[in-house]
Amino acid sequence: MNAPSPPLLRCRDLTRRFGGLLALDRFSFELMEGEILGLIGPNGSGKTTFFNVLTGLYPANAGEASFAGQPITNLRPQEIYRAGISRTFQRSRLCLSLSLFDNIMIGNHKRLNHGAWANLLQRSRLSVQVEQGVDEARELLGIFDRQLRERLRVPAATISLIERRRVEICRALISRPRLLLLDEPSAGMTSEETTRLMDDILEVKRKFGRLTIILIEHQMSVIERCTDRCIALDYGRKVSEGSYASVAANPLVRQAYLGISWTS
Amino acid sequence: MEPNRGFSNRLAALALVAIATAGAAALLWVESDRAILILLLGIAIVAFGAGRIGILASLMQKALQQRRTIGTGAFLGILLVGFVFREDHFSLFLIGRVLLITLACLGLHLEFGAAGVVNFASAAFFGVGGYTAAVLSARTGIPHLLVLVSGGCASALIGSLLLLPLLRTRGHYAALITIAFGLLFRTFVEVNDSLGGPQGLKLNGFKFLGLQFNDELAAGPIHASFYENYVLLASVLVAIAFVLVQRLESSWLGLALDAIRLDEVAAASFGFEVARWKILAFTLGNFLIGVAGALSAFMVGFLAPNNFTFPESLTLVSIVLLGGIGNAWGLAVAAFLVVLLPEKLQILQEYRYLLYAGLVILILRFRPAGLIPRPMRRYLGHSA
Repeated sequence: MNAPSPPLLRCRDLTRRFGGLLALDRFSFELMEGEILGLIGPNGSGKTTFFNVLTGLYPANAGEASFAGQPITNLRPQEIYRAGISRTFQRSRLCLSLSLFDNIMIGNHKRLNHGAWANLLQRSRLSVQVEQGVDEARELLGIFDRQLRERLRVPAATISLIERRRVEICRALISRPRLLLLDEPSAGMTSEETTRLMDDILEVKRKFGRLTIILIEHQMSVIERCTDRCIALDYGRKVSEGSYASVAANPLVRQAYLGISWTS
Repeated sequence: MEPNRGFSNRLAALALVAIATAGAAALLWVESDRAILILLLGIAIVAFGAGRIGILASLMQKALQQRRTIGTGAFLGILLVGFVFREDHFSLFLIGRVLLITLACLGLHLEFGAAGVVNFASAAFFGVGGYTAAVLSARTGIPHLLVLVSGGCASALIGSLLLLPLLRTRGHYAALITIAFGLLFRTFVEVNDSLGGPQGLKLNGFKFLGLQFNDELAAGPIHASFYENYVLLASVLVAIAFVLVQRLESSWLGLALDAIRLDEVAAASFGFEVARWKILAFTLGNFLIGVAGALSAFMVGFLAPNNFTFPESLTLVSIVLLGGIGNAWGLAVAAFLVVLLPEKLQILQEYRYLLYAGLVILILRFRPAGLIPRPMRRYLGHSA
């Protein structure tokens, strides 16, 4: 047997307080490269807080995280992104007045040349970069939605909410991150639309290979279908970890979602 | 098919420029209040009617495919108008003033329209450029073209004093900081006797390659007012600044400014160094404002603290709002209207700020994106 490879992401005792509220309470886990991890829990259980702590939007009060062997605790969001972690937001954060292409290219920031000389004077070289960006954006968007790929020039305000989510995922993927954090990508979608979205994400994973994903999701069918492993949070604490079946069967998880049963 | 469409687009661009030039010339030419009011009313009715049946929108849509043609056309239009009014001091002075205000507003546009950094002290930065020009030209022998650049640099440098508090505040608080700076600047100049105090300073004319700008221009039988010199130089400066701003906006740099203006959190999550981009926009913007202030000081020949007050800053902001926030093309049109109307309509002189306020309210109510709304970004004319 090969020596087990080190985990891509390792969190130890990550803690985040808001005043007296423990939003994230000594959260520890490991994530292997290529895995898809589902993060479940009732509203307010600390899932999004975990994303915000991991991506540097909130500093952690205690604990540490390392990514690909490098410590990343309390790095700034910019550095986390450059290290190869990219995310979507629970509430869409597309720039509505900008075109789909502009929005996707915002996600490509680290791969674009931002020198004044290159942008203002070497226009033919810039034009090559733009063409390349168009091709990449079109290819990526085409995986999710054939029609959208022909509409790169329209403002994001003119497309539907579901289409916006797809664009947002493309924005997170265009820089070829190693770890993708999806914060409730299916909010507001029907279960068929969600299934299609997840199939598309799995297809992206097949195409790009080695993409690792953490998925926050409320629809259990999606978690069951797409994730390799799953973690349940309640009041900021990890209450269960393992396969979907074992987590779903865990009485603590059932209690968190449904309350204490009278009969038990 | 393709070249054909390119041709009709170009035609639309030229038509728009020609209409704008003719309108501007007509407004400069008429003198009585009544004639101006009738002309304005006529323009408004035609514009409203054309807007209603969609001609204006489709014309603009087509024209915007040919931005280079608009730019070149507008430049030639300015030169043409400058030539037609060559013996008319007052009209030329107004054209020069419109151009310099446009230059300053291009700077404000970079800060406010592109990067979202508020600046309610633009008149103060205009003043910094002017006072730098006055002091340097009176006390040193630095070539005047370099004096203009120094005016811009001084303005950018003094602006950098504001960066620390500006980067740590948002929204209303950031606005208050710039307002406070504007008040401080005026007081500073007023109590500083070496800067002329409340009486102000006089400047000698601009000199460039042995050419005295304050001498009358004469080439054979053609005579022109000395203001023609300033109009020519100002239009070249505006053209350079315009190309700079357009290139910046149609590149990754413009995208970065949009990203940090629209959503700082998302931008930070995608690696944008928000502070760095704000500093870039604020510094470059103040530089342009300072250069405009410096040349304006030479052209007017006189500086006083009263010219750089808070209401003056508001005037510049209202031009940016009127023109269409984030749209450099609209600036020139708005600057023209805002500078020209009070000068031409004598009855309005006293009530100029009332007029600006009314215009801004009307625009925000009925056309919130401005006279010419911000078009989608085009990277170097790519269709993507």
